[in-house]
Amino acid sequence: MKRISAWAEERTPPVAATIAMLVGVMAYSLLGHLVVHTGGSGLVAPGDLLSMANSTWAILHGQFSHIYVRNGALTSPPAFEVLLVPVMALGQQVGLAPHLHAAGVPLSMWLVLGPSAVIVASSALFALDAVARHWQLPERRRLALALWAGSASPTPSAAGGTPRTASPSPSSSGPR
Amino acid sequence: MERNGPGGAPRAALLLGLGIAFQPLALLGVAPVLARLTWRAATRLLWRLVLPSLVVLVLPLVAETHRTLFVLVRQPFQPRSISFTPLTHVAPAIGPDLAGGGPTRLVAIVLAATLAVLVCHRRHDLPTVLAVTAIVFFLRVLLETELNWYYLWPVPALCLVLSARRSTTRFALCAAALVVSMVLGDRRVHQIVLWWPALMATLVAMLFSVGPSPRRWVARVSGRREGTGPAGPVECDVMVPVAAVLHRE
Repeated sequence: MKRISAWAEERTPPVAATIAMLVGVMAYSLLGHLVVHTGGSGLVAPGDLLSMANSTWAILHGQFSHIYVRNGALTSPPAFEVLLVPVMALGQQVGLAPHLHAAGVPLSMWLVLGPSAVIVASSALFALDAVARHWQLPERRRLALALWAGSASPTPSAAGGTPRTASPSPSSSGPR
Repeated sequence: MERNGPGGAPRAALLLGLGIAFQPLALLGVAPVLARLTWRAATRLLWRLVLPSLVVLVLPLVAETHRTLFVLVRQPFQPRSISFTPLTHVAPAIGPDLAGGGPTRLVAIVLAATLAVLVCHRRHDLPTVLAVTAIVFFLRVLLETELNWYYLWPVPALCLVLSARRSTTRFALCAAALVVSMVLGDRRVHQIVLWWPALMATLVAMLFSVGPSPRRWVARVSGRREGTGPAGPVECDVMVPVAAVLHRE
């Protein structure tokens, strides 16, 4: 525990930025439909991420020929999707969205998918901060760097930028 | 590699390989990071770059070889779902409402790798490597046939850290350009006559925020033209060697 807290203390700026991203992205994705007219209701989440979640679903259920689908968002090797497999498995185990293809918005699964995506995206902030630490930049400047980079990072941008109401169908996702 | 020199290359190559397995754009970082090595040493690291991608690709390749290769090579996208760029019409049609972004991405990777090797083989301090990486990501965005704002992200991220090192003013300039690019970029645009140049201008502003002042830039480039050359390398003035490489070509 001491090790973890020492690790986090040394990296306060990216940890703070990650927490801010988590709160901002989840709040916007769950409540954004109240302020942005998306043509739907419920969840404002990046269609790309939900399309990738479908690929993860295919991996989880051994349907390997469905990892790459027509008009899917996935155009890279599926490492991110493999990383999400335990997250989706856990979500399934605790009864979240039984199937992404079911009718309606996969709101409950988003509760584990969203934070997971933010945490994966935040790895870039830790890398930037490692450079800043190497250059011995002052803590305040490191915090500004992490917050600015975090505010512009792909996850919040995709969730809060061009809003796409979440749709469970892979064909609704945009390309990458 | 900044700390351990060439001894850190195997670990760096494996990290790059992992990055490529998540997002092949990480390929753009390979040349700037490994350019300091000899060709033979770099070739020995090749398997580390490829292995992570191969591991995660085995199952889809076995189960659906044709579609997997089609997607990875052609990089399909739906033009109606994205913002256009001046090169969108160059993207080959590969299906109904489907275009391929693969060819220009390949060109971008080749150009970026060439530029990175030319600059970073001799100058491989961390600021130079990061600045060249920012420039090659900018090249990639320039050559894209489709655009979502988050494609731009590596450029501001790298410029933010580089400008933070130089001064608060430069950091503020970079951050301001970032805000403008987010406002401009977070939308789907098909009429791009004003929009695309404005978006690219924000990236140029970010790159300028990490380079030398315009006066020094002109003085150095004109100094090279007259054969006098600069007195010596100045850390982080990577725009100057890049300009010199372009001038030589």
